[in-house]
This record gives sequence, structure tokens and C-alpha cells, in this order.
Amino acid sequence: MPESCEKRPSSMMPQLDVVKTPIPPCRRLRAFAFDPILSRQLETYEVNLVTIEVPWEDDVDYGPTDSYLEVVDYDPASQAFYAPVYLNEPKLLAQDGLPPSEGNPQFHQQMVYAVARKTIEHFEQALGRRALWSSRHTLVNGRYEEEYVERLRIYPHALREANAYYSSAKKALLFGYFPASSTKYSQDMPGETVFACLSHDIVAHETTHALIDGLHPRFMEPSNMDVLALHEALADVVALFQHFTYPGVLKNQIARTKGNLQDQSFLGMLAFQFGQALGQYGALRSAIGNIDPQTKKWTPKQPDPGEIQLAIEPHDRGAIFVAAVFDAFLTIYKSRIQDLLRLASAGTGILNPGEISSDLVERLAGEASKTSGHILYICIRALDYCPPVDTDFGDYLRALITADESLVTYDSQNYRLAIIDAFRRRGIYPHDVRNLSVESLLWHEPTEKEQEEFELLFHGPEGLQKLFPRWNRGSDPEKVFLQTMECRRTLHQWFMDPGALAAAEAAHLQMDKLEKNKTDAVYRDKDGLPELEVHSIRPARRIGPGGQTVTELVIEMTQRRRGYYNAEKQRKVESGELAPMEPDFVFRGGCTLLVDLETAKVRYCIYKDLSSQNRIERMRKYLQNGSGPSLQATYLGDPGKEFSHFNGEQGSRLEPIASLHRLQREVEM
Amino acid sequence: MPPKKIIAPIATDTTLVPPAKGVAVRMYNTGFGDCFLLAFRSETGEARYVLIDCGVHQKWKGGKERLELVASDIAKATNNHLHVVAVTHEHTDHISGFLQGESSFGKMKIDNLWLAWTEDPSDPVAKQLKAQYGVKIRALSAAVSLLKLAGNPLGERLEGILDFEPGLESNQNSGQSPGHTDENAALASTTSVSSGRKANALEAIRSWVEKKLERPEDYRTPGEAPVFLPGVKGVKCYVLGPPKDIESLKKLEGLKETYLSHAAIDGDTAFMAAALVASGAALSGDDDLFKRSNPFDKDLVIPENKAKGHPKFGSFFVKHYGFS
Repeated sequence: MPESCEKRPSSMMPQLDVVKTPIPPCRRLRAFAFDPILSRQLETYEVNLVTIEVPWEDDVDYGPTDSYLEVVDYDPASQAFYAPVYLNEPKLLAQDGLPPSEGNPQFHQQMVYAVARKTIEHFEQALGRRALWSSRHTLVNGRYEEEYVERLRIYPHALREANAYYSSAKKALLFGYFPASSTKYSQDMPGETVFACLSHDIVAHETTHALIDGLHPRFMEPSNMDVLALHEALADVVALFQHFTYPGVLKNQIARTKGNLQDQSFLGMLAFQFGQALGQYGALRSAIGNIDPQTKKWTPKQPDPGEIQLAIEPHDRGAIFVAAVFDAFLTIYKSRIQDLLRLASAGTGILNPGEISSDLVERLAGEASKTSGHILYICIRALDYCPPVDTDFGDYLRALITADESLVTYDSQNYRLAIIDAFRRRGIYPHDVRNLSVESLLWHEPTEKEQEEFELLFHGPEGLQKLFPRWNRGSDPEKVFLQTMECRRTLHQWFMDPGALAAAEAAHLQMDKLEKNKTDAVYRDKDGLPELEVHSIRPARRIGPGGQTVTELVIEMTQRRRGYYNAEKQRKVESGELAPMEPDFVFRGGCTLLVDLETAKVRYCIYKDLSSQNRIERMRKYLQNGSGPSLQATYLGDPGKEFSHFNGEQGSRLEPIASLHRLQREVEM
Repeated sequence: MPPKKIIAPIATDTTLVPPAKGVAVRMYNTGFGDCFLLAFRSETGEARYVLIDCGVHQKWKGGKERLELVASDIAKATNNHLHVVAVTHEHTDHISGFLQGESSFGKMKIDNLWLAWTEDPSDPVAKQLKAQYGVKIRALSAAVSLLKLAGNPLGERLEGILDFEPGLESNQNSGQSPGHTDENAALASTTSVSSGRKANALEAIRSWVEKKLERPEDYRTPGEAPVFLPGVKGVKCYVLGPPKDIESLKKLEGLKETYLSHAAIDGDTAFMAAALVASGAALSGDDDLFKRSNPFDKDLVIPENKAKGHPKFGSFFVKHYGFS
């Protein structure tokens, strides 16, 4: 471990020379487990109170501000600031932070901090390294320069609207508030203010967006229908499974459903208050079922393989993905508790009517928490096993299976089967595999011949180890960032070397040199070689066959090509008949390499061909008709235009309504 | 933005002759708008004419001239006699022509007017809707003006919605093709500020029609018995909307599983609060809604202009909020 993580400035703590005060393992902060609405009813009051344990940091400043986050409570719509909370105040330390209160902005600051920090912790645990935010790209002398972003900013009251989002351009989470609708199904008072920052699920969801963006900035580019949907789905999966990490919530809901988590429970619902405040029945999203608006009865969702064909909107598609993940969780959980149910029912497996014993609740909760933790971590770890661009659901399924296989070689609990089956039942398959067996879903390994080329390129294991950024959970993030930049430069040189042509081909990169005075659609450097971006280098840990921990280097590289809506124009630019002009969209290809640090062998090469004709056609079609001719496009101009220009923020978020508040005064960000 | 090209006139100068059986339909290309003339044959063999809507979107260039032509063509096609005028809804692109073509319509004989129950001034639900709607529209138009002032391109997109509303101040202030293109709106309007929406075109047609709309049953309501065309056998007209149920009336589209989207417009208050804030109204109003739209009690607020010099937190704000 580098020294930097040992450096714990303790300006806040009185130094006692005689007794060494142990560093607290965590900071305990009170929050709503769901959202404020559940605290208004007697039966849910208690379950809604959680104390979130976030990693301890000595110097948590006003805001709260720590080494990851900076809560900035400026409310532009009200032209108001709210006093920042100081969590190291002894009175707050002694009572796990402020008590939950909707009317106290300082509690809001505390809650967004606690939930976001917990979400970060889950990512770091799953990935085994310090989380980094996506870097800021600033235009300096006509070139984009990457700038290190130390903290993610959180604005708990940034918008006066029913919205919340992560802004990649601002490196900030913006949460809104709005008066509830006055529909009769709501438990809100009509018109009372609903705060997005008090919804546990929304905070976890948006924080996940920021964390994924830190890993995969190109996942914000909607090159196919699934890219944004995947962002949404993973954000929901994290929010959903975070419920399971609060023991009180879990036990309460297990007792209520007698361990049958397929039943209606708060564990399978997201953003309850938001859903109701917007005039819906029940939660904003539910992974397992919905309340039928007609009968007002809760009905479980049935998997339908055809549904995925019809869903186009990112949240709709994402919901199918979330349902599949939740389904896999339920299957595994059910198989894990069968013995417990038999023990508790004299061997029949059928529980008696009435409540179940608290011992059984305890044991079932243990199984649910273990299983959900595994599933959550598989989902997060899979982010290291994705193609660098243009990922679809099928790719992610392969990433899930590969990620799990690399950590748990022998799948005694059949996690992988459960995952594949749950996805199959919802019609999600990869395009490029022959069957749905675990072996065919694993990403493929390079051939012997290709391995030799890679080894040569990496200068053997010794050369590769120089590329490795010293990066684990305790690393100084800025150092990691700078090291990574250096490693990326080195690797770029290696790949651009004329002698590395065979290795580049093995990585499925395009490295043909174009003669002088000739052009095509590929972005090339002044020597006529295709531009290459070494997008990311990061370590991933897995368990080797002998049970030892193996560190792999994840290397992502991308290339780009100009795309035009007009196919004829595309053909002419490709063939050099037309000089390359400003493209309608940018089409990307590239690869993710997982390289074993010890042997310099590439375990997996996950790629998207830059030269693929099929893929560019699919993307063109998607960008042109993906969203469908909506009324909004007819009357208000085409929001798809904003998508295609990749302006750093998701186009769907450039709603006219969302910009209303911004005219008051631009927040300094 | 609606396209701004001008389409060549299509005046026909001929009487629209109904077929022996069935119906003849003449669709007028008004630009961005609707206008349909239907001709049926009565039991006694005479022509019976039904006009459905007559209007053009306010940003449509040359709309006024075009609608004058359309109206005079309708007069000729029907021998100055419309048996039924049906108005689907009160948007400029559906009604502006009744004023733009006033010189033709004003002289015609118009027997019946079909209007939805939402236009009945005595209907309590309609009254409520109009009152709420008026405030919202005014707030929105204030917000649009400010957005445009701030040079935000989304202001123009929002204005696209407003342009369906006859004669709003924001349209006149839009600073874009002043005078000419907004003429359509000005024409469709009166100065009745009370409801915020101006219904002069509707008032005009109400005044011309022989059978006046006086009682609630004179307005069309979904679910009522089919309406017949006077003297025409075998044609039944069913009223399908707008729904009487205020909840479904407000439903623009399903509230999907998203917290983005149009949900805010659909909610009673969210949209309004946002627009009011943008227009600056929330800061001065003392209406309950205004008060509630501020998220916290006054004593918890540190006003923006006092934040920098705040005795306790001033330095924190300066450091973290980017004051210069």
C-alpha cells in the first residue's frame, strides 16, 4: 500500500499522547431507507429509518465535503443558499447525524452525502480499486486536455422540477424538488413539496450514473438502443440492491413476506414517493410487479420474450434488464433457502400460516443479503468486461458471465445458469454466439499466434508491469490519475509503432496506412494512420485457478470513423471520391483487452470492429429513427439532433422544461 | 418550428357537388392547420355542407392571405350556406380562419355550430380548467420571453407550444418576424385577459350562427346520442371527446417509468411553479401555491446576495460556490 493512504490528517481530533484512539471504522448517518413518504405511516415508519454506515474520513468538512464528494446547497430557483452541515460537530457525531427531517435542508445534505458515499463504497468493493470520476475535457489551444476531477459535486436543490440527473459536463448531480400532483392515489398532501434528494433510490441511481461515467465515458453516447438503457438499468440495479444492505429493512420485509421476496415488498420497488407524486399508482419503477391501475391490485410481472422487441425508450428497455437481474437474484435466493424452509416446516417446505420465527427471519435475511451482494457485485464487475463502445444488452450478458467466471471458477450455486435463464426468458441474447451455454457466452481468448504478438508488444511481463498504475482501494486518486495518463501515452506509442501492426490486428484495431493524397472516412493522423485513443487503463482482480488473486490489466482503446445519414455520401467519402467533411455522427470501434500482469497474456479481447458495415448502418438507422417520429419532434424540433452531436450531456435530458429554471442564474459550476 | 415556405393558392372557384351517395370531402391546404369541407346529399336531393375547423398556425407566413382565399372559396363552394360548422378545439391552427376570412364567413348563412362542452361558459369543470389554464399560459409566456431574452435556444422551442394559443403577449414580443407572422394570432384574439386565452374567432362564429348555443345541451359531450346532419339520412356523428373526466382530460400521455418526461406539465402544480419562478412571480406572490413552491421556511434561507458576506458561512460559500 502506498504511503499516501496512511496519511490521515487529524486536525479535527484532539491528540491524546497516552492513549491511542482507534480510528472509527465508519461514520454513521441517519437517512430514509426509501423516501419521506413511508415515514408518514405507522406500519412503515420504522422500516424507513436507517443509519447508513459510510467509510470514515477524518476531515469531512462543511458541506459535507470529503475526498470524493462536495455537497453544494445552492437553490437557484429560490435564489437561496442553505447553511452547510458540519458532520464532525460533536453533537452530530454523538447521534448519528441529524434526525430525518423534510424541512431541514441540512438533513437533505447529510442524506445525499450518506447515500452517494455508500454507493461509491459498493463500487469500490466490487472493483477492488479507488473510484475515479470521469475527467474534465477542456479546450486548450484547439486541443482537448484531460483534467483531473477530484470531487463530484452534489446539488440537492438544483432544480425546481420533477427531475434529477447526472451532468457529465458539470461533473455534478443535480436534484430537483417540485410540488406533488394532487391526484387522489397519492399519500402526499396535494401540492406539497417532494424532494428528489430525499429519495434513497434516486440518489443511488444518479451516483451510479456518475460512477459508470468515470469508468466508461463513451457509455453516454447512444450508438444503439441499449447504451443509455444499460446506464439506466445498472443505476436501478444498484439502487435496488442497496436496499438489501440495510439489515433492518431486509428483516422487516422478510418477516412481512414470510421470506417470499417475489411478493410485493419495498425491496423490489424504486422511488415510491416520486411515483405517487407524479400521479402514478405505487412506485416509480418496480422490478417484480406493478399495481394495476384498474383493479388496484398488485400483480407480478410475467417475463415476455417479445417485450424487448417493442421497448424503445431507454427506461423501458432498462426496466426489462433490471427485471432479468432481479429474477436471477430470486432464483438463486429461493434455491438457497429451500433447506431453511424445510427445517422450519418439519420437512414439508411449506410454512405454516401466521408469522415466521425471528430466527428464521434472521437466517433468511442472511441468505438474501449474501445473494443480493453477489449479484450486485457481479453486475458492477461486468463493467470491466465490456467492449469500450456500443455495448448492448447481449454484450453485457456476456460480460456478466465472464466477470463471474473470472472470480468464481466453480459455480456451485449456479449463479451463471440463473442469470442466463433470466435473460433468456426476457428475450435478451448476444447476437454473436451459437448457443446460450456458459462456455459460449464467455468472451473469446486470442489464439497462440496472437498471444505471441501481444507479448512482443507489451515487452513481456516486465514491460507490462511498468504500465500498471499503482491503483488499489487506498490509492491517492490524483496520483493514480496522473500515472494512468502516463501509461496511456506509453501504450499509445507501442501500438502506433510500425512493428506492432500484427499486435494491433490481433486486437482487432484498424492500422492500415493510407497513401498520401488519399482519404476515406476514418479519422487519421498526419501520417495517414488511423487515430488511436487509449481510452482507459485500470486493474481488475480475479481469482486464479489455484485460488490465488490475479491482477489483470483492463486496456480500452477506441478509433473513430465519420458517419453520414446519407448512405451515398457515406460511400463516396469511404471510397475517397469525396473529401471527408463534417460528419453527421461519429462512429466508433475499438477493443477491451484483459491482460494477465504475470504472463503478459491477453485473456480476453472484446472488440467492436471499426470497419463493420453492419454496425454503422445499424447506428445510422438508430440515430435517424430510433426515437420514432414523436409529436415533440414534429412541433418542437428534433431532440435526436442533440443526441447525434454528443455534446456531453444526454440529449434526452435537454428537455425544454428542464431548462426553465436555468435562466434565473447559472450556478457557478 | 413549422416550415416557412409559402404554398401556392389552391382556390377552386367551383361549387362542391355532393355525390348521390356518400360524401365529397375537400381538404384545404392551409399550411400548418386544418380545414375540411364536407358535402352530403339530403333526402330531398339538395347539398348539405359541413365545415370542420378553419385555421393556420400563427408562424405560418402568408397565412392570413391564404385563409382569406380559403374562406372565399368555401363561400363559393357552398353557395354561401354552411349547414354545420364543427370546431374541434380552440387552437389557432384550427380557428384563425374564421376571423381571417371574416369578410366571407360574416356574409354566409350558418345554421348550426358544434362546440365541445369545454367551451360552455356555464360548465363548472370547463370554468375551472379555463381559470387554471389561463394562469399557466401567462406564466409560460413570461418564462418564454425571459428564456429568449437570455438567448436560450430552448425558448424558441417552448414558444412553439405557445404558438398554438391565440394571441399571447409573448408572441408579439417574440422579436422574430415582427408584425407579419404574428398577425394570425392577433386576429384570432380579443383583449379578454381574465382567462388568458383569447377567443375572438370563436366569439365571431358564435355570433354568426343562427341556432345560438345557450344551454348546456347545445354543446357536444362524449357519450351523448349520435348527432344527425339536418335533412341527411343515414349519417350519424358520434362525439368522442374531450372526455368529461377531468383526470383523463389532463392526461397527455401515460406517465411512464421515468422522472424526466412531460410528467411535470401533467402535474397540476409542478409546471406552473417552474414557469412562475422563471417569470419571477414566485418571489413576490403571496398566493398559497407561491408560498409552497419555496422549499424551506424563510429563516433557513440565506439569500443569494447575502451569502458572500455571511458571518459564519461566507468563506465556505466563497470557496465552494465559485464566487469571484
